[in-house]
Amino acid sequence: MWVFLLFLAAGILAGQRAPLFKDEILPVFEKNCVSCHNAGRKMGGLDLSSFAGLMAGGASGPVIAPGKGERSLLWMMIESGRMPLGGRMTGASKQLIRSYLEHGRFPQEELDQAEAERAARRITPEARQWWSFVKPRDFPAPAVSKSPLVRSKIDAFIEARLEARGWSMQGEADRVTLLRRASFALTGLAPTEAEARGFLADTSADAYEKLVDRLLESTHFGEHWARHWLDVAGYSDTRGDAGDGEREALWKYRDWVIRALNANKRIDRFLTEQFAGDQLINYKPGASPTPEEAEMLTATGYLRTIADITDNQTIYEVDKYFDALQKTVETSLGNVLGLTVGCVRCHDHKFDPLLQRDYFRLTAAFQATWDPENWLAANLGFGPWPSRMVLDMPKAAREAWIADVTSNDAKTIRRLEDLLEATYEGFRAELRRGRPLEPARRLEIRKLIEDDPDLEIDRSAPKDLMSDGEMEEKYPELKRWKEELIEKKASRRKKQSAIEPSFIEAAWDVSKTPSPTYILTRGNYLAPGAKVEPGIPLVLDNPEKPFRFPDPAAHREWHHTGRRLALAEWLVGADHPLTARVFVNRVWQFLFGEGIVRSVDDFGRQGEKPTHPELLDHLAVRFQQQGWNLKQLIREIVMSQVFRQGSAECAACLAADPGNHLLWRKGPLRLEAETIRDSMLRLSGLLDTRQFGKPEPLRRGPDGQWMEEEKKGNPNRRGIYLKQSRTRPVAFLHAFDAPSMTQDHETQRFRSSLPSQSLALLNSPFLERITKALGEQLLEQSSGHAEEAARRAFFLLYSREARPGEWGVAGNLLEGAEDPPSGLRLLLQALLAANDFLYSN
Amino acid sequence: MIRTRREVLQEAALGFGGLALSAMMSKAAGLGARDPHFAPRAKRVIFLYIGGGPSTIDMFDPKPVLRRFDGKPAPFEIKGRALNGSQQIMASPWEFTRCGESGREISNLLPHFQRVVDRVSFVRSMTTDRIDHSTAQFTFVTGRGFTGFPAIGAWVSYALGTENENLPAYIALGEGASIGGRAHSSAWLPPVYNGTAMRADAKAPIYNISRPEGMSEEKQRRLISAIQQLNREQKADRPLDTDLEARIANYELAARMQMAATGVADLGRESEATRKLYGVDHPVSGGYGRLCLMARRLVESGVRFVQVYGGGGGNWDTHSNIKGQLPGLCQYIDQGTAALLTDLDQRGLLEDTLVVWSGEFGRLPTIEANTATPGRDHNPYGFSMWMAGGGVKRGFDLGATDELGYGAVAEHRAGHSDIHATIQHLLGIDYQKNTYPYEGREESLVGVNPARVLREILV
Repeated sequence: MWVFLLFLAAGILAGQRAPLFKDEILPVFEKNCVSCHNAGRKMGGLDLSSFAGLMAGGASGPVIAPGKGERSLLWMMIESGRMPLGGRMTGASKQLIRSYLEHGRFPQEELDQAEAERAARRITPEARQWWSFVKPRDFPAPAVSKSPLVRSKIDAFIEARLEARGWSMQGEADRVTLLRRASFALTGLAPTEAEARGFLADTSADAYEKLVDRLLESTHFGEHWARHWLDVAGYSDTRGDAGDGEREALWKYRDWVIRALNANKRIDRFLTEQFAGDQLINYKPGASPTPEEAEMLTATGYLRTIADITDNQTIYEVDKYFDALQKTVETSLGNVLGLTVGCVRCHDHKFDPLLQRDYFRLTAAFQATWDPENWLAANLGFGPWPSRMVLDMPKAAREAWIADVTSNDAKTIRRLEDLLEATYEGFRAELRRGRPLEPARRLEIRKLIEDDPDLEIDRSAPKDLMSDGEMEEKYPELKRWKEELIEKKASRRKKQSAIEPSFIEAAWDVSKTPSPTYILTRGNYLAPGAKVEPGIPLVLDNPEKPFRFPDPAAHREWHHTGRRLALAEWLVGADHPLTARVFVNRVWQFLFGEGIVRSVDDFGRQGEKPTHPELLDHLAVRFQQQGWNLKQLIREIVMSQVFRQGSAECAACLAADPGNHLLWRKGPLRLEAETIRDSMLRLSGLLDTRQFGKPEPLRRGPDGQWMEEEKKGNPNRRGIYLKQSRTRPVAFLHAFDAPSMTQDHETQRFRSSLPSQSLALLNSPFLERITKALGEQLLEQSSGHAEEAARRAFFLLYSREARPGEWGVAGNLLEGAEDPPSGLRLLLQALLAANDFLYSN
Repeated sequence: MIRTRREVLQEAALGFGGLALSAMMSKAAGLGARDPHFAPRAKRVIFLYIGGGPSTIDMFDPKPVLRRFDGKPAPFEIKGRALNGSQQIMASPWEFTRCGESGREISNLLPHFQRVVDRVSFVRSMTTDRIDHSTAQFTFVTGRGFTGFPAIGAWVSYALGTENENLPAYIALGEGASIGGRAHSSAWLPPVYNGTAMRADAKAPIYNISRPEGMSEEKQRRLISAIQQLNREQKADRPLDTDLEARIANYELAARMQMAATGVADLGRESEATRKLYGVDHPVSGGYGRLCLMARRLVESGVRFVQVYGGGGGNWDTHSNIKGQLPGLCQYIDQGTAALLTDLDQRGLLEDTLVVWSGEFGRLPTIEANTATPGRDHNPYGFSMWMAGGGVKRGFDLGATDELGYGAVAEHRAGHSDIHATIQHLLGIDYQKNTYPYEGREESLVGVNPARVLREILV
């Protein structure tokens, strides 16, 4: 026994072995500490009578710092002699505690281990068999009898289910419908008169195919499909903080998406660059990017769309940092995984085999970028440098700009501005006290204000006594000081205008060693639980060959953790069961209004099952096999019969399947907001097809609604180039369900039918502008002949001639009008406000 | 089976095949009244929302003991936001007067409110866990500290619809500062429940409500009739399409809305006595008076939830120069608020109209920014709000702050979720059952926050 104890003590003294809490540490506490620090009295909030109490810490926070004995509060109190109060601890006891703090086994590891084991138990083999967690495979096409309607394998899957019901797809829609449907779906624009005439006159067998190919190659394709993706990404030109400030440079990401889609960038690459463009180029924080690097950084704008109320905030509020980090993770990953990732922020998923642990392991992949423990590193620049931006300028210009914004000159002006305002205030304060202001006293006040290094300006103070102008009249020196300031500003502005900074809103890793990620109990950052390393959801991992994130320490040349890149590569890897499925399902939804899985963001148990599972898998597999080729995917769908079929009602089908789950017709769709607006601009000859660049500014209209600014901007560009504001959305677009991104993103738009839409079509300044331009254009083309203009109007707006009943309506309007042009305008407005314009049949 | 958001939307907006036209029209717009879960005490709400952090300690919650400590350190630690917070007590610079039968003391900054104070019940023990404006304001209106959640008015409209088929169920009124559309957004609830921004201006109360120049009433009637004929013509081969049917109905509704909205915003239709009561022409308080009068006109015409922003008179965020600013801010809201309570009462509307007054937090009893023009920092630890009308006791106080007006005393401590639960309860809504499927969860306004109906203040 003695020998054993001696051996024990020797080990401890040599600092090699951790003392045991129960046998060695607790007795020391009991002798010295627990008379005050027990569960009952708990002085200082601390209970040292149990292991749990020690771990819980006291009122001043944790008392231990595992591995760092000298930095723990417990040790500091003992070492300094402040504790035990009124007593003395023996040297041996002290040594024991020090050794324990340095080498002791603290439950973190045990906790982590227990958590990992618990997680593994929850992910059963059955859980891994959920349909969307199993890698898709291509199924053979089912045999279907009505072969003339089956143009492709896509059609075979659709037709097979219809046939089982005794139904069938419809025959091909009429050519006008086909033309409009393809134009809206691929470019978000109505066909022009020339395009319509060209297509309708083309009687060749492959006329439709040629139309589709032309539309896919149009630059408008990228603009329209970028709009879809930007909805998914949650794009906005404003930040979503209290004042909803500008997100000055995110438009470059918008342009990046348009370019990528028009260039038909492989979608696996498209996604990877958005998740980890910075890591692909090993971006060094603070460096000037080359043009190629700038492009990769711009792609990471995908991770910069979330409403971020931490920007430019000086208040240290950690929960906001966590919120920004977590929303970025939830949105960016949820979009690709098609799982309700946000559900597991606070607890294991109630329905899906997703664990809270998975959530935080995924979060860890982003932690180096949005490190809540190191938030300001990426957030604070200097001068007016906005946060989390890369300065994208050639070296010389960059240095000149930095020198400029940090120059004494700039500081002096800011200081002078403050001084001037404070002086007005100081004078007013004196006046308020009713004392006359002697020149000497004025100087004295001025001097006092000048000498105050911590000058606080009350900019909200009322100008109750006299306005600034009146003050200047009364006190000529104020006027003089103000003029000085104006002069200084003018000379500075001259210097400054030479340099315009260029920024990229980007994501990058702030360090290679981010703070650890903990599972936050019930999502509360104040209650960290087990520590986790970056990882993928266990249910999607291969138990035989678990996915490993790289160790950045092993890559000395890296300026980053490599975590987001590893994650992206996993997402687009050949074995991933979800990414391709979720993506092709979104494409299907953009074309048909509903996905094959209708819950486009939820492929889990709470989501809907695919209406055509084999079709979904076929599309996903083929998409991957063809090199993640988006245009090819869209082409194949649009060329299929299911897309080309008619949209006629069938009472029996409608009664049995009102939601058109079986696709017994191509359901009519109300056009998206931008498609309505852009088509009106295009047909009235107003559309400016210039691409890219800073968002077009908005202004408040006469009745307070936000609309295009005509003077400082160009009001006639496509909707995607208008400023997207969370709090000041373009009223016309908003009325037709364009998202304002008050939520994080909008993956599936409402297609509502509201009286506010009727009001916009009846009374909005936009419609006034359109009908005016349209009327003038048509009258000119018809040499002022209103009836001829009306006839042309039908073809221009509907790509077809007027039906007899419609022509009757037109006749009534023209006859009843005070003059032909106003009758024509009324007709044009009626045609635009009617359903054949607003719907893609 | 949990419904998907689209299914609920369809129920709300589209699912009306075979119904009579008028019912169809209103349902198409998400309007029409729906039954509450149980018998309601109130049928509609006017929410006077004073964003910016009104200093309730200087308005409703007198603390005479502060006089003793004025300019001296507080007797216990005051945790401010720690920007410019200090321990130096500042007594309220204003006198309070004991008012009404309830004998409660109200600041002389609110002479009109002093006369109606018997009609309201205070909750004096409010707290919030948010210390900055944006998160606290979102929390107060949507239950969550971040953007992207539906506001209380959207939840109420979603549950109850509206009694007026010619107006939106949820209307937001304001002039000047507010935190924008997000404070009255339907977020992921169907867009019909979005708060419609309205102004007290008969010419342009709602976007696109007035006819453009040169478009006479008669001409517009011809236009609408032409649209309707075209629509019928174009849907001839789609007799069963409810979406197209809704669109036809919407033009009729839009035409009626033009009448109703401009009508309700036309304050000229009120008697001279009423206009005077609200002080609609007063240079300082007229703007808010007009909003309050319009709020009454809206609830009178069956609008379910009216949110009135009280930030138009300046910035309630009185970090500095509170002495200079608060009198004007109080004057801005005082007459309109009091007039609203008086007027509703006289018309018998206060019986079943709930009026709620609150900011997102209050202000500390200590001085901030020890300069020539001191102010008060945010106080989320204890502040006051009040409710009146539909089912709420008259002249009752719930809870209190401590002697310094700093923290809510533990008993009866209340938060935003309790207010949300209470408002819904008064409207006959079970706050736990008013849910909507979102991202795989059944979401509600209260969510997972602990909440209770403040039964003490109910009649």
